[in-house]
Amino acid sequence: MQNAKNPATSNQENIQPASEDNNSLSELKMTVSPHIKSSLTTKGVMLDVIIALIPTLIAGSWILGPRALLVAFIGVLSSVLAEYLYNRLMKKDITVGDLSAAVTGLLIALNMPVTIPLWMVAFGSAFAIVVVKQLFGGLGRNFANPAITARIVMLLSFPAAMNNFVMPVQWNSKTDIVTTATPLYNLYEAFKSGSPDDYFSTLSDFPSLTSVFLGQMQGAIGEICAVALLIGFIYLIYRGVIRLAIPVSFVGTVFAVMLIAGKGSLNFAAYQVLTGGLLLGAIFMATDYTTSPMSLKGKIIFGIGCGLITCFIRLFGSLHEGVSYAILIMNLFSPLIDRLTRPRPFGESKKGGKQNAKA
Amino acid sequence: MKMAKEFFVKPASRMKGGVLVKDNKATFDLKPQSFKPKKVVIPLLQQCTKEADTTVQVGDHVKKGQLIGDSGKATARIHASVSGTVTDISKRKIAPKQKAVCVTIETDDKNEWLETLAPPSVTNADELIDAAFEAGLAGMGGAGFPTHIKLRSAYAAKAKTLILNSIECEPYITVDYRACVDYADDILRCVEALVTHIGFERVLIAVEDKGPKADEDTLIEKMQNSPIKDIIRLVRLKPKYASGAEKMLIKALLNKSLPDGKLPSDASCMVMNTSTTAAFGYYLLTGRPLINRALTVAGSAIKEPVNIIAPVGTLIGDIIEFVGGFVSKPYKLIMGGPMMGMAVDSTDYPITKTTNGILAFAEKMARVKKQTSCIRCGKCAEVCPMRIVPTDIYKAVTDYGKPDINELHALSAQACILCSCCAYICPSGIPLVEGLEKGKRLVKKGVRKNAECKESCDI
Repeated sequence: MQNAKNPATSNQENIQPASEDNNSLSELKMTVSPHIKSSLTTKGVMLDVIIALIPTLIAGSWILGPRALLVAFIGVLSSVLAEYLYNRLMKKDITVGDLSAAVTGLLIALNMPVTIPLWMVAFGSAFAIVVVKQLFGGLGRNFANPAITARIVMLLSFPAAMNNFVMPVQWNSKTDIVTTATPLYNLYEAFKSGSPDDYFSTLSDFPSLTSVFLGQMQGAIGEICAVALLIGFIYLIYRGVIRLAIPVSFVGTVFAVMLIAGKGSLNFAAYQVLTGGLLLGAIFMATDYTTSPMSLKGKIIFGIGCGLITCFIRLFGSLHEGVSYAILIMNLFSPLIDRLTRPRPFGESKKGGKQNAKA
Repeated sequence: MKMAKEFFVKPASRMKGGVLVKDNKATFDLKPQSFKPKKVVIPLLQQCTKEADTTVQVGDHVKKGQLIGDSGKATARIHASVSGTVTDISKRKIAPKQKAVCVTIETDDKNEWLETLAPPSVTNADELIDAAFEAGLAGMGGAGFPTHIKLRSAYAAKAKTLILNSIECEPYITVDYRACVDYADDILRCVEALVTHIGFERVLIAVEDKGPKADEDTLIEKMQNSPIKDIIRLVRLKPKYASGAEKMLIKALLNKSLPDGKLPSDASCMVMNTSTTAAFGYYLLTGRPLINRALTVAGSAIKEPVNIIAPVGTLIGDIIEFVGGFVSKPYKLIMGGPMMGMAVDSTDYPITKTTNGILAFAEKMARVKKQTSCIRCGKCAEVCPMRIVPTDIYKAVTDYGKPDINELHALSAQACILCSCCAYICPSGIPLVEGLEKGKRLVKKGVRKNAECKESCDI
């Protein structure tokens, strides 16, 4: 606590007398080692996530129209405002400066269809920040990912608005009417038909893999453009913000299971990976530090779990999309996974490690 | 030097964890300047073991190298580091939270060594181990473990490999590097004696693969004329902080992982710091015990970084004065390196055999990150060379009102080597080392539910 106050206040007062007497040592700072620190900060990490989401936001508003920017703006604004007001009301330190609320708001916006009424975005953001994050103790203490939980709450509260997807403007500019058949619905039908490749050939206006990869399909603002998501992914990996483990094991599991489910149809598996919220979820939501395991082994288990649940929901559930539920369910398992996958201390034999874990 | 290649071997394994730290070493090329203070205050507690008994009285005249502190073979001997008169023997603060009996000596101008000092005659292992004891040697790399005890256990375990540690992964400090450049003769003399009498079959000198290579060149030059040149090899390690820690070094050189509680002799090796080795070699030649300490003085509040060599017991304040005083108001004063050194609140503390640096930082350099909540990013666990989970240990110490001892056991808190990698990397600026230190202590003590627990809640 003292640390927080001193550097900011005490040095300014002390600069003047310092020039007179450099040898007055009454103000020597006592802290435990280390006495130097890396430049890494929570704010920096959050800023990196925001930067990584910018290509996705640009792609979303390019494909679905500029209203996407407005949705994003409202998402961020209402999240930050909710956090600020909560902090003020509860007389806590104002934590909006760490940018985590802005990330949550942006992620919520990217999970919305572009047609979403703005008040719903504001509601979702406020719910995420106040109920999911702050009531559990704020940043680092929530057990469920705020953006994911908000998305699920909104899906249940406003199903019509949340599924009100428009055709991408450039994909088919003639039909600007709202349709209900999302690519995931077609995939579900393809699975039920028993032979996905044959089923695809019967569809007249089913988007090609390339156009799906580029984002020419229906979906939420942030989930349609795989290219943009991958750019963000590479940036986060390069900056060391996230590790490969969760996204690769999550997406890898979905691909593998879908390959089997589609009776070896590569097309089917590839569509499953590129459509819906899988990439957005695997790269940006499942990797949330607070709600995912810390160890490498734990991350892989978490990713595989997410992948399996996603597949079960997509193939056998009454919903066509399962990414959010999968992540939320695995969030609940994170503490358990963390406990079970604690790294073995340096030099400890396998036996010793197990004994330690039991003790 | 092309022919030098044969003197190198590759590391046996790569280090997991650790952090890359800007090294700020500006004193590679500076031979330590000698500093003769007017007064020294020699603490009789210089090692992690126990306080020595004084063998002199106030008013005695002592000469350099004269025994002043001795408590049997459990500790290293302590010798007068200057010639002069003992003016005080009393308990005083030697560190912010530590008191010990200190012998204060006012120096005379004669600067004389004790006349009776003579090179030891060493013909077998016992005599060599006794020589280390007489020389007052203690590990100069940091822990200050008495060298004769280390040698004894290496001899008893018939250790095969001698590892010389010249890895100074702490930023700023270049003392061990200088020891290799300036005292290569002494180092080799010591190594030869150790090989002959203790029976080491192989000697590996670990050097950092960074900065100028004068240390390697000098060592190789001397090695070529050494009778044991066939068994000495240099190993270059990639610069990474904490690679110089004993366990990490043994892992890197021999690919053997020693868990907490195991000693180097369990891996059939012994690790000695190059400065200590040089001091031992000097004793074998001259009979003069360890009384001087080389150290790097640096930091943004110091005029310019220098290496100096000063008698043990010199007060920090005198050293600062010697190097030109503070150029700006010091915000933090550190004994040792910036990663593991200790912040001190006054310049009135003496240097010991283990003080390898004095750093004074102006405000900007030492600014403390604002502490915010843990976001569970897991970076601390990623960089931990001991593969434990610092944030969980910190929470187990601080979170539930009182430390959870069983949880600390399960988390292997005692394995922590206090290298500070975790707190260095932590984006939330959490003082993890504080919690780890406490956690480690609690586990080692096996404390359950007593007053100690209550006290440690005040973190």
